[in-house]
Amino acid sequence: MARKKIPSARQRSKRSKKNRRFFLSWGTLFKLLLILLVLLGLGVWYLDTQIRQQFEGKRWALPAKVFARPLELYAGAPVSINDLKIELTALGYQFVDTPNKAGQVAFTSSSATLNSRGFQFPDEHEPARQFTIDFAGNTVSQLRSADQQSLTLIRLEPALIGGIYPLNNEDRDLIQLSEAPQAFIDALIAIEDRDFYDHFGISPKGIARATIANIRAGAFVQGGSTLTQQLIKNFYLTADRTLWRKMLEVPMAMILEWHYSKQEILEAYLNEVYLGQSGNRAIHGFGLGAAHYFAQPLQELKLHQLALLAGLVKGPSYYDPRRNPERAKQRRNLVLSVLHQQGSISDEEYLLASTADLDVVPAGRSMKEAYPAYLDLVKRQLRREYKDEDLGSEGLQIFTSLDPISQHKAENALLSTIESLGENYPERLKKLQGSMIVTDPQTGEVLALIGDRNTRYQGFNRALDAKRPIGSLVKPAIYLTAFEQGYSLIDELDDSPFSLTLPNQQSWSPKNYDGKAHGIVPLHAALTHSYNLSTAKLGMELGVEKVIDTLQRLGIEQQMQPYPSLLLGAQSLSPFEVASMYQTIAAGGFQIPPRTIRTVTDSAGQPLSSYPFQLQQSIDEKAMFLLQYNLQQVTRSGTARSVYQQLPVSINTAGKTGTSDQQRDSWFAGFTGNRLAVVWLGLDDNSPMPITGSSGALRAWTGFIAQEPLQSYETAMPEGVEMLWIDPSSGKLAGGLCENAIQIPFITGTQPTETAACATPEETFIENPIKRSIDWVKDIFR
Amino acid sequence: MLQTASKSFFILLSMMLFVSGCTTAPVMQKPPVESREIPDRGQPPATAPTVPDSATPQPVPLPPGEAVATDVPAPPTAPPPTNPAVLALLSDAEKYQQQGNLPAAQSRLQRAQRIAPREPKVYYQLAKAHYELEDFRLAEQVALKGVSYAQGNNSEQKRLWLLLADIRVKAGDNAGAKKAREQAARY
Repeated sequence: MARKKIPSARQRSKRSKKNRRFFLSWGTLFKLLLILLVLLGLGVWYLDTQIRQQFEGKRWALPAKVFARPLELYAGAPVSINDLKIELTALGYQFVDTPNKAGQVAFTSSSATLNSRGFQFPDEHEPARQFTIDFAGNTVSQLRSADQQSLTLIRLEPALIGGIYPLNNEDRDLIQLSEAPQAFIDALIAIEDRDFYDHFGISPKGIARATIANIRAGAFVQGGSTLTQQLIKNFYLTADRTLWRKMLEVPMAMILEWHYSKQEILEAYLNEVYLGQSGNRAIHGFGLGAAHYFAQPLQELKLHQLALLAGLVKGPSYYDPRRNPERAKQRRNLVLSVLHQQGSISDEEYLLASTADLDVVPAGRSMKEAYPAYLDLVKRQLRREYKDEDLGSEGLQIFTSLDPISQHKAENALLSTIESLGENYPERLKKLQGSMIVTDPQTGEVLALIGDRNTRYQGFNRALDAKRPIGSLVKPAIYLTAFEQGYSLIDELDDSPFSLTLPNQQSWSPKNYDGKAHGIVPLHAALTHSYNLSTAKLGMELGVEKVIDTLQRLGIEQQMQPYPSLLLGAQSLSPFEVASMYQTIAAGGFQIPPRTIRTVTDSAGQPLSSYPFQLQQSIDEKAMFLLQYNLQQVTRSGTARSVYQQLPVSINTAGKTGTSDQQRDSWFAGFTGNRLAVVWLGLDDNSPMPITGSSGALRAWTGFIAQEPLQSYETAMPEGVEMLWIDPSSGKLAGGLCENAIQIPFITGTQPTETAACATPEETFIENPIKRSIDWVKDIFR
Repeated sequence: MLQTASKSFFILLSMMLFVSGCTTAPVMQKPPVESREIPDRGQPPATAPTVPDSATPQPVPLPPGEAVATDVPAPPTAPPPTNPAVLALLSDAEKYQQQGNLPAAQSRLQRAQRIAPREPKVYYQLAKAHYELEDFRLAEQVALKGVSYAQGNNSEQKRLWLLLADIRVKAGDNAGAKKAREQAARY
């Protein structure tokens, strides 16, 4: 064929005629056709297996779903009507006059009637039902079913608080076709693919109609793609729209239609479609779309909301109802008018829906992004057992102990404290940061976590990662060590200046916060008022290593160096670590590691792992009882006494303030009967602040506790401890005539044996309750 | 003169009585009540908390081997009534435990614990569940936690110490089991 001479046009044409004649011989034609057929067959077979594999196998990498704890309702539950409102808002309930659909609630001044949605919990199914909750004060007094039967216990559905996403960041919440309201299916088909139920994958009618519409409008206003084609495009083909891709789309759509029913294709479409973006998270499928735009399940949406969702498919960014509300409304109303024209909705429905507001929840209100700090902790705990790719693709369900009500109150308290301190010190505290952790001291469950003053910030998590010097928060470990070694609360300590030469030849001379020395003080007073001199001296006497051992038994895992400065809180810890330490104190010497995860199940709800209540007694309960007593003195009459400006005196609280060197950190760690909270305030650049633990962190702590259901901190006195009346001036047992006598617990064997001179045997003090209470009052107000 | 003095003394006394009525004890000895009325926020409590009856005799731990059966450690105070929701969960858990469905029993018990974390009955059953799963370390710890919540509740104390004795026998701690049995014998 290779000729050196370039053939003329005529010659070429002659030869091609000749060639054609040659190729068109019957045998060759047959062979060619056969080859073509085989190739086509192979192509179709290849496409067919591709399509079937993906369609019948696992279609999507399903993100793990993370749930908050379900709210338990029963007579006596410490839930106020306001708390319930916080919870139901988080769950996307509609507040109505008469609830008649799942996800609706009606409130009176002292009761709530709601239609719950029901939920498949790992252990059992909680049915959807209507019931009424009666409140008395801040507790639930009664639960009644719709037919006025009394109910014992109901679990509300848990709020979905986040996900763990696959690498492509696609988030979706699978729904079944049956869960999509008919009005929605009607709207979607009317606007996207009118002939869906009649065509075979492609719609010539649709293409013709679109072409005419586009010519009339003089612009591209309508596409001729069927839902099947759109599904193929999203499902199998890459984003680049080359001609080759376009050519593949048609046969693939036809193959899909050949194999699968309209219902199956529609269901896949509902879950695949892209509906918008939230940060780097891509919103896919109408199940998630409903939650993203309306914070409600698809089944609970009204006509105007369904029409908007259907309209969004065409251009989720162009018609974004949050950024382009007018455009979105026009698009929605176009969908409604098509429905109206084809008779799917009545005049009245059309009028009502097309004049309604968009009713989209504001951006940044999504529950899925509300708790980044807590979610971060959950992920860290999960990664010990699960691989990242499984977490992002297997559709795991993770049930946590996050309490949206506590979290809400903690955020309120911390932010209002930060804001008001910022107003008081506009220059120095403009950039004040804070973090907070809340646990249930009895079970060790983490209820709330805040890692930044912008609680939705998905970055540095101060509650876990900001290790800062803990200041006087370390002191309980020193006193605990002392009680374990036989010290009593009334042993005398010397609060006077001293200096110590350290191994590096530097001299260490601690100071008290007020700069004064207090001389000889009873041991309990040194902790109550957080005296540094006497505490450091006591710590040196006991041995820094011994104190470190106690810190480890309290739950601190990291390595600590036995420098004397540790005794005054030079050790840096995160708020989370501090919470583990105080958790052991609150739980009477039992180490209960803080935990977030209750159960992990697979996508079908089968439990994969559960995390039982773990505990280990690590501190003698008698020594711990003395420390608990002393820490209650801190809030009654010591550095944290301001808590009783807000809390009723009947509620026992215990805790410790902490201020690091030059007031760079403001801490408070404390607990009541049902809540333990640690608050840290500080500046990221570590500069000194005009606030202490008492004037900073403690305010946020008290503000939080005051909003929570109050439960007094009460521990039974362990065997081997006795309460005795003591004459504070002599440190001896008090008799009836001793004024100012105070009641102090002693580990048996450490109590004083002598009775103070003020006592007379006939009239023992113990038999005079009036005087006893008077003295107790005096003790408080001292 | 004397009259005014005694009058002002009387006024002072009644004022003090009044004030002292509003205060509370630094350490409460009565067991916590799960369903206690929660006073309105910011309001002083409606009823004055009781002054601790410190005169109640405290048990003195006996040297090992000297336990006396007649020595009742705590005054017989009536234990607080258990919330019906907790009782329902406990009886469900019991049912599952008997059927051998320990995970189901566990999940009921953990729900019960979250609702009533100071209820010794919950810890008794939870400890028993761990005992049956042969996790003796955890069973013992949970039972000990139960003991700490059962102060003043003799029947729960006895039950928990007897369970502790069984747990320790299985764990091979015979001396510990003996001590637990001695404790149980005191109630």
